Amino acid sequence: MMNLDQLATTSGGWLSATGPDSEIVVSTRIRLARNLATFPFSSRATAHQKSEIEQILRERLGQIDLKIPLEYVPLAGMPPLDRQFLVERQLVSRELAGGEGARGVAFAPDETVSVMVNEEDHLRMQVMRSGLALESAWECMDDLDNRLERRIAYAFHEEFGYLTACPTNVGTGMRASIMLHLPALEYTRQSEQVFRALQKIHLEVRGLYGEGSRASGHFYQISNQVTLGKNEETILKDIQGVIPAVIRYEKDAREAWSRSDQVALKERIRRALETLRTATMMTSEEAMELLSLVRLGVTMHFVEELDLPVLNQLFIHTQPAHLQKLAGRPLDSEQRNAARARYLQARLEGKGPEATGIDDESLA
Amino acid sequence: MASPCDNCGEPATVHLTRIVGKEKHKVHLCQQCADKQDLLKKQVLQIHNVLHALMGPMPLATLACPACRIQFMEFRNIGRLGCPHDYDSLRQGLEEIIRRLQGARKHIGKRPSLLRADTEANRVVVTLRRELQEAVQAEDYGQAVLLRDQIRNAMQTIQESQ
Repeated sequence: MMNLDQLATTSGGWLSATGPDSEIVVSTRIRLARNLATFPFSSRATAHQKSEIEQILRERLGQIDLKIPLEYVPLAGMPPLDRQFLVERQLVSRELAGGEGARGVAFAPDETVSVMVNEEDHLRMQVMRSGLALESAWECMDDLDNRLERRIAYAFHEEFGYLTACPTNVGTGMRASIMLHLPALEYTRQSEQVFRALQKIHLEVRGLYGEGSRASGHFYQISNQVTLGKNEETILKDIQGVIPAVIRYEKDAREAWSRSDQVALKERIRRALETLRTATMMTSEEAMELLSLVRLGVTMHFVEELDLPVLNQLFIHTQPAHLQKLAGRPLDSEQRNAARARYLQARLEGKGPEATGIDDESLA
Repeated sequence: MASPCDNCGEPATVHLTRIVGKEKHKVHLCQQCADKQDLLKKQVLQIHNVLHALMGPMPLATLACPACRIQFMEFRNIGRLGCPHDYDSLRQGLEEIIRRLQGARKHIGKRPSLLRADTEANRVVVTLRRELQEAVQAEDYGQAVLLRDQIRNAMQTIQESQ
């Protein structure tokens, strides 16, 4: 059984800030929804049927030959903190974490592949990449799907394609999504306008943790709305086609801001960094806001002493479940705010995630 | 005034108008003779068709999937379908929803490369699984054992056909 505590000090390969355009494009994710042909969908399956589905899929997932084997982690009986941790990690959805009955996730140790079992659909597979990398993500996703398909009879319809529990996913069952960091568009109040234009061409814009989540830290996910009547290539091409324009808008907004008001912008970023370094209490929201400004500073070369991989990691490590894992004990919200401030201080001084001292019991 | 049956002279209870070419014929029959000619059945069927044409297809409120038993209205409330077969059994209601959501009607793109079992065989298994669950709930364990064997056999057939 995988030890989740060990994951707390690391971060997924997709956060490495190494891919193309990774200053603005944080990550690429492609997800496929698939179902077994001979079972009711998960939400209508009995507890016993859900166990059967889990058993079948777990077995098949173990049989496929992958370069990096997947490890299966059941979610039934898992403590809520661990489930929340997997959500923050983007390895499982909120829906799977909050669900009931037999369910789980198989994922690669580098966290670039994860397969949820008994979410809304029997299978929700995702591939994650750092930066803008739709093509390589699709190659990996397609390959995993092909290997599974040889062992599983998927529910497929001549006319409607891959059948899903919700008709919003029917057809390709594919959702491709690009996560972007767009602070300048947000601060200069141009983001709404850009998002409206995207929605007009049937692209969806959502926050960091998907459906209904606020765009905290100025992170946005752009994804396809339509899954039927277009093949995978076209869907990917449609998204690929608009991302350069969004990147351009963000870059233009950064340049314009920097031209018109560089002193004030630099001061704002400097103060954000100062607050992160010296505060003794910090809410999750404030941390996201300040880290977002510092990330902007790093990409504009106003902040030289930090790099993107560390910053990307801090956005995730300062989430509630990660802090409690790093501290090695449950923390109430006030204790979390203190631990968060202490953790940020240590990391910004250049200490590693395992040497921040927030696991010191005397602070409890 | 009751007309006599065209066939036997008994009082007629079935009155039909037959149109052959441009000519109209009134036909009067008693119940017995009508039954013999199978006329009434045909007529009932035709009345159903006329109603169907006038009122539109079967109302969505009565639409349900025979395999998983989900009703169309239930799907409308919860937003999740019950089983893969719903795409056929609830099609009448789903088509419009799919068209509105997706702006398209037909999948183009990836498809499974293997030959798969026909959807009918899959549907039968989904139905058997529901019946098994119902038998277990009713504590009819004899029936449950039978159904479990049927599911096992059906799955074997499906797997062998692939």
